[in-house]
Amino acid sequence: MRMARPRRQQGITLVELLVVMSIMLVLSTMIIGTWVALTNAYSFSSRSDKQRDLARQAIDRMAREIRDAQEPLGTSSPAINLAYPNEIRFYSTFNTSDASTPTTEPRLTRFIYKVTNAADGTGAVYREFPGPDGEFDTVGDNVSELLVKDVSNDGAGKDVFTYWSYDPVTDDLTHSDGMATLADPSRVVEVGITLLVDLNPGKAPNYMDISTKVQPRNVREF
Amino acid sequence: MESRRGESGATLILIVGVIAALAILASALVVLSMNVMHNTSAQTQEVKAFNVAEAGLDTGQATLWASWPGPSATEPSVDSSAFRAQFPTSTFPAPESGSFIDVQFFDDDGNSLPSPGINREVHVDQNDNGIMWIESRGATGSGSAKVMACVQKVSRDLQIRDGVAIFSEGSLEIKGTGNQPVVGLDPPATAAQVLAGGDIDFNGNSDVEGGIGLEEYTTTTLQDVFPSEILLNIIESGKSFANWAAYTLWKSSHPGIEPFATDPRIIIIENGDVDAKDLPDTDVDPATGLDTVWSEEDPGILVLLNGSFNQTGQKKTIYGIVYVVNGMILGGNAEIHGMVVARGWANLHGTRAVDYNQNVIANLQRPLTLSVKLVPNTWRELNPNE
Repeated sequence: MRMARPRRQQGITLVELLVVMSIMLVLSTMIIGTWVALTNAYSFSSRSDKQRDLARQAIDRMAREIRDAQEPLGTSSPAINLAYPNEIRFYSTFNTSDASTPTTEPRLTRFIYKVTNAADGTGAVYREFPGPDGEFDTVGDNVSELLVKDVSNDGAGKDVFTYWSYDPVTDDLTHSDGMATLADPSRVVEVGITLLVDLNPGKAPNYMDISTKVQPRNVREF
Repeated sequence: MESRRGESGATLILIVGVIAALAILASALVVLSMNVMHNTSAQTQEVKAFNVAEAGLDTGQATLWASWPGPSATEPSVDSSAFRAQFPTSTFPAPESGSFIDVQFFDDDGNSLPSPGINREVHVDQNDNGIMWIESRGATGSGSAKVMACVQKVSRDLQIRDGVAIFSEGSLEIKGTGNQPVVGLDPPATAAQVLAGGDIDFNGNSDVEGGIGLEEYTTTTLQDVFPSEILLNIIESGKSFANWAAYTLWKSSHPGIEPFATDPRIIIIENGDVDAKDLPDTDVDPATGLDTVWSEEDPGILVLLNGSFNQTGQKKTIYGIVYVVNGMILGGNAEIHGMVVARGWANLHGTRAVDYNQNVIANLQRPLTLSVKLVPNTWRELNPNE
């Protein structure tokens, strides 16, 4: 009996299959690679933009409030009453509801940089008001608002706040240099603010340096 | 066309899907970038608005300096059109809402410094204590800012020494016709000095009225007679004459002293000689009915910084002080009722060239507004939307 010869087969050979699989593998790798790269870029952009925005807003906020520093009414206390490298305390009516009334008493405010990770020297900058007792406590009842985190000034050895002080006796301007030469708060005429912000927190660090200078408008007449 | 059965078209779907995903990702990146640009732009406009508000505060100060609004004055205002013209619209676009600049003036509540309150119902210095508040709101694009500060008028009396008819740092020549003295006295003055740093050359006692003493001084200084810092302030400030009817400064050689539209009481001429006949009459002498330049009740000061003052021919009557850095020649029917200061030399001829007038000197001792300064510790930034 003569077997019927099968009609022409339409399948693919193993070689063809392997070639197609190889091409698909290459193409998939390229597409996935592009996808991953784009996703990473988007993620980094998103994180860094947010961080950059927060840093800008923080530095702008600090500049405006420090510029508005005002001596408390009826006292001899200076407008800026503490001028440390990582902390500045001052009185201000900024953003109070009755700031347009001159008799509104300025409230004590501080901007403080707190190191939260001693290992890499990163921390955050806060705006704080004292609690009901009128004093800033190391723990407890300060009214605290986070301005920006992942600030790496400490790790890089950079002061957040630097000061120019005027000495009316010598007619000299002196620049503060960390804790070694603290500024006399009553003589501060200019405050420099510098933030070294990690734009890629939690990942490979990518630092941005943002700084400004502000001259308090209510400096004393010397 | 032959149908190719058995093929499943997954590649096209795969490609469309990948392109769609990439497009979404790219769109997200674009949105992210636009957000950043928008935030940056908004922040920039906030800063610009703040600068506009600060400029408004400065302009408010200058406005008060030029004309401090006393209790009966009209409410001061800033010319917003002129102010706006200083800021190009390309970099300072029109505000999305409100006006570009709004400067308001308020009186204080009468509390003494350093903690003056504010009286928002009154827009002039009603209590006349030289203290006012300025509130300035600036807006450009989406940004707006408002600042306020208390300002204080800094005034100073002229401190002109009375009893001096003529002060010349150089030589002085007094030679009249003999009919009347060249230097005399207006009642009620009974005595005055003529001081010269150089030689005094005169015909005889008939050239000066009784009571006029001539002295070639050796120790007196101009500072004793007419304090120079006052003059310098007059020259440098240019606008500090809130207590004077008006003020005019010619910065270059003047072709003539027209027009005198604003009836100035202080005239400073930087370059060029002046002949008294060119000075326009501003007042009428009630006793004689004759036209005069200024008056005993409201005298003025004429300062020539780099030129000579000549008074020849036509009669001209001036009530005030003529201060000449160079020299001066007075002759003819000229009359200066008040005082003459010549840093160089002075030649006086004719009759009654200078009559010392103590009322004129007394009426010139008015305070000048030297500046309007911010009261320390009163500057505040406010919520622009309140």
